[in-house]
Amino acid sequence: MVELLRDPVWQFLGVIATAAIAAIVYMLQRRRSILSYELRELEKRIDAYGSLVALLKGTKKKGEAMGERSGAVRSGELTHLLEADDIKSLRMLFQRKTQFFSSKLLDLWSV
Amino acid sequence: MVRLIEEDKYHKMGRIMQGAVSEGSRELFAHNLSEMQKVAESEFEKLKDRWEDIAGVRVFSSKLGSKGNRRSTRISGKGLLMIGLILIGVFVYRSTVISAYRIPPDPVYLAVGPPERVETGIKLSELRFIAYAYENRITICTYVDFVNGSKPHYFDFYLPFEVVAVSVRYNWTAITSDYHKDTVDGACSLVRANISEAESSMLSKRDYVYLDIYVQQLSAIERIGEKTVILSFGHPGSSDRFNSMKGYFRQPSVELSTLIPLQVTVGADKDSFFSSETSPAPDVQFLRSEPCFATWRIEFSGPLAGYYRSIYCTAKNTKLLEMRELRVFASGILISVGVSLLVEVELRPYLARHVRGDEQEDQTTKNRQSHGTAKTHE
Repeated sequence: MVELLRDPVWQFLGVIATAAIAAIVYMLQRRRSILSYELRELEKRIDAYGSLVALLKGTKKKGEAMGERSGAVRSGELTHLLEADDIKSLRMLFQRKTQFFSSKLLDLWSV
Repeated sequence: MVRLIEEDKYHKMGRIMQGAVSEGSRELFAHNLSEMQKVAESEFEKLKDRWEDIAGVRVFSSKLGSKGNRRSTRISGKGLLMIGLILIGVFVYRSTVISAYRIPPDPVYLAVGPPERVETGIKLSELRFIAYAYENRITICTYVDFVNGSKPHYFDFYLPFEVVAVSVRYNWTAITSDYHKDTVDGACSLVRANISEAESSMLSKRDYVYLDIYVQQLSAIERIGEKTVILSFGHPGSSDRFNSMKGYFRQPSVELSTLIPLQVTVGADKDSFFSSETSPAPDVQFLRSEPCFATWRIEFSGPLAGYYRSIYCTAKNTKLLEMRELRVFASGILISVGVSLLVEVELRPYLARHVRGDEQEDQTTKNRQSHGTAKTHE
């Protein structure tokens, strides 16, 4: 074993192997951190969009229920029913999570 | 009737609610919320796709031929190419730094006979033993002066090398010669040159004898750009190899170097120089643009007659040394590039598949939680 360590070929291969392992470990850690960061950001956006979609779906259901009872609503082709709490939630959502929404959505919000 | 709740406070909502109607104090309808919902749902789906891509579900399933989340351990052609690159680099490095060792097992022994004729009928002068390190050639040359004219003589040269060819010249006329290898391992040879009575009668009074002996490997240690010649002179004694050739070795004989001083010369290629490891320091050294030579004068007379004489000479070629450094550099590049590309092409995706596969379950759980939040809102 000691003779192997004295052999320059094995020394050279040892350096190469060490460098390769270090590079692999570094790349894995870096990749993991990049993936984790990107996934966290995506999850935040998904959470924001999920909240918005859920809110809009709820108001749409309420609107459909109201439309069955109201002829005015049916004639006006209105779809969503927003109560005061819904409006507050919608406003809070766009205020606190503006950075997660797309410009198209923000344009629709600011019309 | 259009009524906006707290229009001053919720002016944005007021704009959204254009065209809305109210059938109660708390109820509003809006047209453009449908478009907002469509956009939100569309982007929500895109985000989910993106998340799946990053989590490594679709990316690798498509690369694996749409076989789902199968994990492949096969090495692609690119990977094999990179492995080949690494192996070539290792081979280049190994062939560059490897040293070929062939230490002469016995000393050189130069003999001439028969002694009675040597003492009275032949006179040798300027005996030289020249070892051309880069040509694997040994030249033994001397002036021969026949005092009594036509008398047969013989030279027996025991060399610790594997001889492959011998050319003996006397005044440019070939004389009979042969060589034999030892029966132990063939590492030593006995070169015999005969000057018959008929041949010696053709000789002039004083002529120069050349013996060109080509050996398998002359240098004891050989690397690219470096050749180390180790030569010892003296009687081999009871060496097995020498004893195995006793039948060919003619007796009686006299050691040449006891008669006259022996000049040993090591010749190197041009662009070469002798390193400081050379020992002992040569008595004469020629350094020119042509092949350079280092010469030692060895005397076996006097109080040191019974001792061996050894020289250790390392000749280095500058151009080949530069090439060796370049090859080491190139092999390092080949190996590092091969390893990097192999990691990039094969290992990183392979490890990433496993890492992503392990992380996928955690991320799926988190995603379900976000979906659960959405359902709660619903």
